[in-house]
Amino acid sequence: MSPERDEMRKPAGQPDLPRDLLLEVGVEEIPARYLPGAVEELGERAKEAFLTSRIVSGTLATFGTPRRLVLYAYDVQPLTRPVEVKVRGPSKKVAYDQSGAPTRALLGFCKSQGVSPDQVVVEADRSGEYVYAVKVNPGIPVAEALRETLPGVVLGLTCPRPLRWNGHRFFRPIRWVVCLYGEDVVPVEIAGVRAGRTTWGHRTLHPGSRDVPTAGEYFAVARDMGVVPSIAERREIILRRAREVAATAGGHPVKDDALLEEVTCLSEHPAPFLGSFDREFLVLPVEVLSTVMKHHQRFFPVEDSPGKLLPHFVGVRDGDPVEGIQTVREGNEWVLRARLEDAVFFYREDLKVPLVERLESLKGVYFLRGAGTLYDKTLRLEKIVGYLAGELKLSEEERERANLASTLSKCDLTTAMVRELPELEGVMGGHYAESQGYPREVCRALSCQYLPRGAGDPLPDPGIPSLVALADKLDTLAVAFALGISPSGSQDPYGLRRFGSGAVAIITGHEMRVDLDRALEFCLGLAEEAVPNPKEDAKDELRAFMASRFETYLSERGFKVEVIRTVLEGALRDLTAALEKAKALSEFVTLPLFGDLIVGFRRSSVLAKNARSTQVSRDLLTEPAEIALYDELERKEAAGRLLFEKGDFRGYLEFLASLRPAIDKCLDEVLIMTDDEKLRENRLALLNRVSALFSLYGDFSHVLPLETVS
Amino acid sequence: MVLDLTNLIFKLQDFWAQQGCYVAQPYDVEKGAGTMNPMTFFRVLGPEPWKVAYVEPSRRPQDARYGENPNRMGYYFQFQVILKPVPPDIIETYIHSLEALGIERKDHDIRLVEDNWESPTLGASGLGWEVWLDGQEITQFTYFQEMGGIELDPVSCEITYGLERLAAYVQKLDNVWDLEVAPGITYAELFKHSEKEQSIYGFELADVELLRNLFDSYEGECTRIIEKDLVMPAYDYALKCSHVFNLLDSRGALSVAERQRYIARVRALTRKCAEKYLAWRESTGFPLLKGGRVS
Repeated sequence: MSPERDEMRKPAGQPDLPRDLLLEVGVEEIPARYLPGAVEELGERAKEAFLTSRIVSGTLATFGTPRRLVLYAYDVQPLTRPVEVKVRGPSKKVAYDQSGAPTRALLGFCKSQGVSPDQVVVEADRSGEYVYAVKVNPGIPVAEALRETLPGVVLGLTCPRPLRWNGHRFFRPIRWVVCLYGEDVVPVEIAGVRAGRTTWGHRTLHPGSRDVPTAGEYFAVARDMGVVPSIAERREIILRRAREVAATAGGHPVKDDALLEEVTCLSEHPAPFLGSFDREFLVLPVEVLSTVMKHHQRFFPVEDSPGKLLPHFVGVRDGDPVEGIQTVREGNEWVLRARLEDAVFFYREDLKVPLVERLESLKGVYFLRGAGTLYDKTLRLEKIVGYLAGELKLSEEERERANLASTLSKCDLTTAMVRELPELEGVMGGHYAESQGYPREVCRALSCQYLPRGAGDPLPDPGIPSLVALADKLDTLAVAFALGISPSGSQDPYGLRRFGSGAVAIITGHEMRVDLDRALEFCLGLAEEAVPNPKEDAKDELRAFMASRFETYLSERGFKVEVIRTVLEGALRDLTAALEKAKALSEFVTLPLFGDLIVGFRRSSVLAKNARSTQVSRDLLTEPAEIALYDELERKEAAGRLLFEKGDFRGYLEFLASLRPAIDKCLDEVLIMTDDEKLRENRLALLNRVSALFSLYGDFSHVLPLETVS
Repeated sequence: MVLDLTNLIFKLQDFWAQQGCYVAQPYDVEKGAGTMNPMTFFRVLGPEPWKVAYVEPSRRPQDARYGENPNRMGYYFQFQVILKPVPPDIIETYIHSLEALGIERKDHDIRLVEDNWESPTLGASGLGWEVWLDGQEITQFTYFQEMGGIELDPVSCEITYGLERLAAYVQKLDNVWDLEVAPGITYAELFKHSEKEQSIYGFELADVELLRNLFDSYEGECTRIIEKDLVMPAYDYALKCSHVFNLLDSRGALSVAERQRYIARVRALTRKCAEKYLAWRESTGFPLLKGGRVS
């Protein structure tokens, strides 16, 4: 039936009750990674648009499969919300005569607006008093409002890489649209496609089309056509069925949320099935098997309860769980076997060449453009690791192992396996090193060197593995900055922020006492030798970059910006201490004592700025209050500083707060800025000595705003 | 009965001929992909409608494996389809083409997985998918967005079947070398030895100096001829440059920076050819429009 006819049809003699609205946008396969975001955003945009267009509805719900985006609104009112409008008429002076009766001008205005003279109001604004006709626009038929609104709701969805066709842009071409208000078609037009009531079924289960009688029947029709519109429901089906089929092989599917999300968004009717591979492939490292299964084939590996991989996998077909499943299983097994045979071939070939013999081959692999080869990088890594080992006072034996790990670290990059599965860089080096009998710590250093790759990733093992992982990141950063490559705004093509955050996480996570400031200088020195025309201010930029990474690290851990700023100055020299200071201060700002600390800091620091030294002469102190402050310092300062050096930051903050009464008394009772220059300088020096105790910790001026909180 | 490679190609040609495609023949200059055939590279430019299907041998010296890898070769065959404008039911039509090969959709898992494409030497890019048949990638499906640096409107779609993989799947083989190409003859018998020879040449023996000189000469000739508005001969030389560049690359003769420069040089040539071609079509009033408009 034609949409035009539908529009005309109206149940006669019945009051207009709210009805449900369905919008289904049929699209060629939307990339899986964009689908969840699109479904969520569709709901948000619809809600916003309904508000603006005064479309009144109950709950909005959205659904999506690779081939359709669905919006369902319950109880949509047949008319949009009425709105009161005011139309300005003649000025009050013109509208009424002296007796206050309506003039002809007013009557004319009222007639043109369709209101009676007693329905106007007088309001004043800057230009004077005017008559306004107050009318209520009754709202328009909701179908009309939807026709205006829905195209923008859909086409305005965020498409990171839109496809362009026939002058339209969307994830992929839009091929059909169903839009029903109750039983009526809303003839909205989206990207050149006019809505009807015809939907299309699952590509293999129900190829072909069917008409949807009413909005409310959409989900039943979809189900009949082999489509499960809800992402959540498909996810549940996959989880449940994957567990069931894995159980038949005595195992369970490996948990992987990202993979689950992807396969959920690659199907309209998911049907997990169990597949198997030859036991002999289990000689391959677990990471190789998992990577091939997950990344290349989108299979869930299957493991037993101690967590050992079984020669099975769970694939997710988009289609029928039974019909043809044997063919599908065999096909998938066939593909996996070919890939695993490749992998075994690569693994055996790689094992024939000792890792260390691959060093030469690194001369043919380029590092960042313009910065030599990975062989050059290896030489730098040995030096950086040596430097860090010295800083951390490692034993001679440990140093040798650290050096060996850095020598071997990049050698797996020319193995066939890593060329084939680049995501296994490092991990394969670890395996090959192990099979060649290198010490465990060295093997772990190779496996862990790229960790952490992002937030939530595990840290490399403490000790030598962390040393190598840190050196790798610092070198990449130093070289990049020397080349003039630095992240700006959303631009970070080399992922340098990840490297920076990784370095911060390693140092603080393992409480490494490394002066990052000096380490960066060391790395930059090497980088500048490696790069033609190194950038001049690279050092300052790199330092600022790392400080901002540390700032981000702290704020991601929930520290208040005021606290972070307080401890940021000089933090690079000892990130671990800076982190501890931030922790202690965060607790301290919630205590009543914090008020004492702030008052003491504020009062001492204001005048201390004028001081020339912290050298106080006891003989020049004349007033009792200043002598008392001096004595207080003599009594407590050494012990206080000891707290700081031991890293008892809480104790140190308490010590600072305890100075308040003496500071108060001194400033209340002593005229600091006296005319006697000698006395004045001496008093300023005394305050300065106090102030220096505060700035030892950080710049408390940043936490001043938090005082009222306490 | 086994569907051999010969008959598989027949069936695809037959299917697409029924969709109104001109079934063309391979172009006689070495190239890395069917996209470089003038039947695609030029014909997707401008508003004129176009439907074509053809087999194209592809040479990719870097992908060669001395004939030792079960499904990777430096010389292999693509079956390529171009449709402009793109019919709205194109994916359904594509699935019908699989059915024409005896692949019944109810018995399989057919999936379109995001895969975007670009060819820096052709100044070309597109968005699309790889098509998975029971987990095996058998086809690249791309909506071209740009060719020769020119934004396309209307856009074309390119469907590229990997013939060896598809045939191996249909014949249930683990190894493309065992493919039956015609009764009693395998793929290995025809191509394995040449694959090995080409691998040795491309990886070990190709004369780098000669190749560099050839590139310079071909580039010079292309530039000289394009100035005289002779698009087709100029494009032949651009293709030769592209192939020589691929050989240099597989020989490991190019640094990262140098590689980028070579790519940019080829792109400059193909771009010029595309611009001249489009100008020529425009000057003739886009005759394939036959007075109509492409929407």
